[in-house]
Amino acid sequence: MRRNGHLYSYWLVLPALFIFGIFFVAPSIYGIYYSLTDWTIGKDSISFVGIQNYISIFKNSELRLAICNTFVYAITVVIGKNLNGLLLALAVNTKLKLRGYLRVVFFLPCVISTIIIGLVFVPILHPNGILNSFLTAIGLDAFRQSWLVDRRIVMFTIAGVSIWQWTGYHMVVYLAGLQGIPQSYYEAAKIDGASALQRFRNVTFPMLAPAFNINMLLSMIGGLKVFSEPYALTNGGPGNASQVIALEVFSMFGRGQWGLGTALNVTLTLFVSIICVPILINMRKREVEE
Amino acid sequence: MRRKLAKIVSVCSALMMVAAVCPLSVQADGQEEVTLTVEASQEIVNNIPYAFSEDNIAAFEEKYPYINVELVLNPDAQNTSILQTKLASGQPSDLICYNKVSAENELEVAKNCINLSDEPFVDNLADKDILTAPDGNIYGFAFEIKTGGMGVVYNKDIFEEEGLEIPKTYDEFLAVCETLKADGITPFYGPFKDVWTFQMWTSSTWGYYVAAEEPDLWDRLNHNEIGWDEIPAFQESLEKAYNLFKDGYMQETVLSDDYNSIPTAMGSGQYAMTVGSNTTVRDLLNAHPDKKFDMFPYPIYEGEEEYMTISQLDAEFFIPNDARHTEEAKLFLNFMAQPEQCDRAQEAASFVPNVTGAREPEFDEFEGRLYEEYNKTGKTVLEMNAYMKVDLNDLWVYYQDMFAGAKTPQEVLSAWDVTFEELMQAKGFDNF
Repeated sequence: MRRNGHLYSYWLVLPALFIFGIFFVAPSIYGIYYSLTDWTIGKDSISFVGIQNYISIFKNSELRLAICNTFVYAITVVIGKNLNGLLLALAVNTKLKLRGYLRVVFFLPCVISTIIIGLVFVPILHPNGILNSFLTAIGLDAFRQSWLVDRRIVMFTIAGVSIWQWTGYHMVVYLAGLQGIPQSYYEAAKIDGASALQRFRNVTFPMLAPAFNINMLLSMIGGLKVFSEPYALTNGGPGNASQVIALEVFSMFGRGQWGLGTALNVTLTLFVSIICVPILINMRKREVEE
Repeated sequence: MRRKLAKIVSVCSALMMVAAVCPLSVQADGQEEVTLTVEASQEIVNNIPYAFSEDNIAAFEEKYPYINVELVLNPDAQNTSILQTKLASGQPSDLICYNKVSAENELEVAKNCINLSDEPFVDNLADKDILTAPDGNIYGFAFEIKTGGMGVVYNKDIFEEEGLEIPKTYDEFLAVCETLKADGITPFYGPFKDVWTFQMWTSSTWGYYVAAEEPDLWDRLNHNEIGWDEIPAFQESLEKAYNLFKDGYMQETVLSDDYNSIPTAMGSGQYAMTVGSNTTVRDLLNAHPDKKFDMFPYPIYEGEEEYMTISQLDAEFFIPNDARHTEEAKLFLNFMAQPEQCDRAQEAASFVPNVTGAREPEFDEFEGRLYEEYNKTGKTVLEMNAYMKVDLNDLWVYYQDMFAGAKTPQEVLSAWDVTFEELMQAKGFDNF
């Protein structure tokens, strides 16, 4: 490819730009417009109401709870998926005999439908289910919980199931990062007398930064946009205890509160952008530095 | 060679695309094949089996070989949302099955569905009034005239073994609970993981209270002349239910157990009573033919024990204005509203048909008693849900909040007041 000048004309980008505009840009702009209206199922005409819908969102205690739950879930899964994913990647990157088999086993849950996982985990997490029975059997009665019913822990339970499902996926990204680190770096560090911990801190960890960034970004976006996990496990219940933003948007659209639902959706987009764009910029910066 | 291969692949791809866009759906006689979609919730299909008789559908497909009937099932909790969204976006199924009054209020059938008043099946109806909407038109067809009862479903064997009588007052009800609990039987099984289950309690008891004490209350609520949290009797009913749970008369896992667990739980002999309807009793009798189950009215308010709450007319079929195959949908309804089809549907479950010339049902002992004791004598009151103009799902969610300890009965009603106002506003009702 020529460095100076362009190999292809700019107009070649037009078809893609057209599709992107029709299916992404235009709906997004429409969405922002509708979020500023009183659009509901019962109204024949739509009126502009300014930021009234946004005020309603932050005045409504149930929606505030849904926003709070979304952040609790997102932070929990970001930590859980990345920590477990990294540990598993380190484990299966060693010269274990079964490492090929283990990689497949750890990766498998993420190819299963979340709805199926919900159907499997609901009976497991029932107060009289397998998990509590197991805890009793090994003498850990004190740890028995109403996993999907207790308002204080239900979001962590849902996050736990999601971590179980997606850790293998993040493990693969970390594994790719680990395998991209030249062995000579480790050999040099060993010659310099670095301990295993020092090698991890000064060689592995910095070299894993791109994998770390992409995993952080993906798990954070997935966490903030979460829908299927609480839908399959609790449907937002008991009561509103595990409601999240996307579930609320879904309910609002169903109830015909389209203006309000769109405003909540725009709010979610803003949250995702505010949190994830800095991570993305950081990643780009690192790429340039490298 | 490569070019040839590329040509062959291109031609095959083009043919496949054409085939995908224009399926070869033409029968030998030149009649285009039609897939007629019928959409309903899982609950309605399970509870009203005669409306979805497989034999009837097979007979229809045999008579009209170019029509394939496809049942589209929605999860109970999302059914209303899905149907409303499809109607609003102009992409509904060809037929939708929904409870009559709820459809008038939640799906706005007068605006969204076809007026069927001039269809031939209307002349076959035994009772046209029961299908007539408030605007005087008929928008759908339902097989049944009589509607199901709701109350406390109980294990008769346990009551007999314990020497218990059916409670007539709330104090007697508590005494029954205490006796059962003392003998190691959990008195009341709460399958409240499904949001729609506990609402049978309130829809029944509030329905009775309004009919007996304040007949204009639903109108006043729907015109914003009174708030839900300003009605002490509503709070009383909620408190009585919550106290049963709090005092250990229900299992601790009420929010983990769903409606489908009722046959196992009630058949185990560990539980004596539960919320339900005649369908629940029928399911229990089918699941445990060696056991006896029955139902009595909720004894929450004084005098309530005399009246069985009945549900609104359920499982009515409507044809949306934007349905793709309206003519075939009309054929379906006109076919079903015939004595022959009603008789065949009786094999799925007994019901009182709304079609002239159809045979009377052969009720079992339980259904027959309900029919004779309550329906024929007029000792029935209509459930609350029949009077509501908005989706009640949020209220049902607040009930769960109550059992989870997040809201008191008073807070449930206050929260519902706020949501009710928003929903009524969204629907464009006056005074909100």
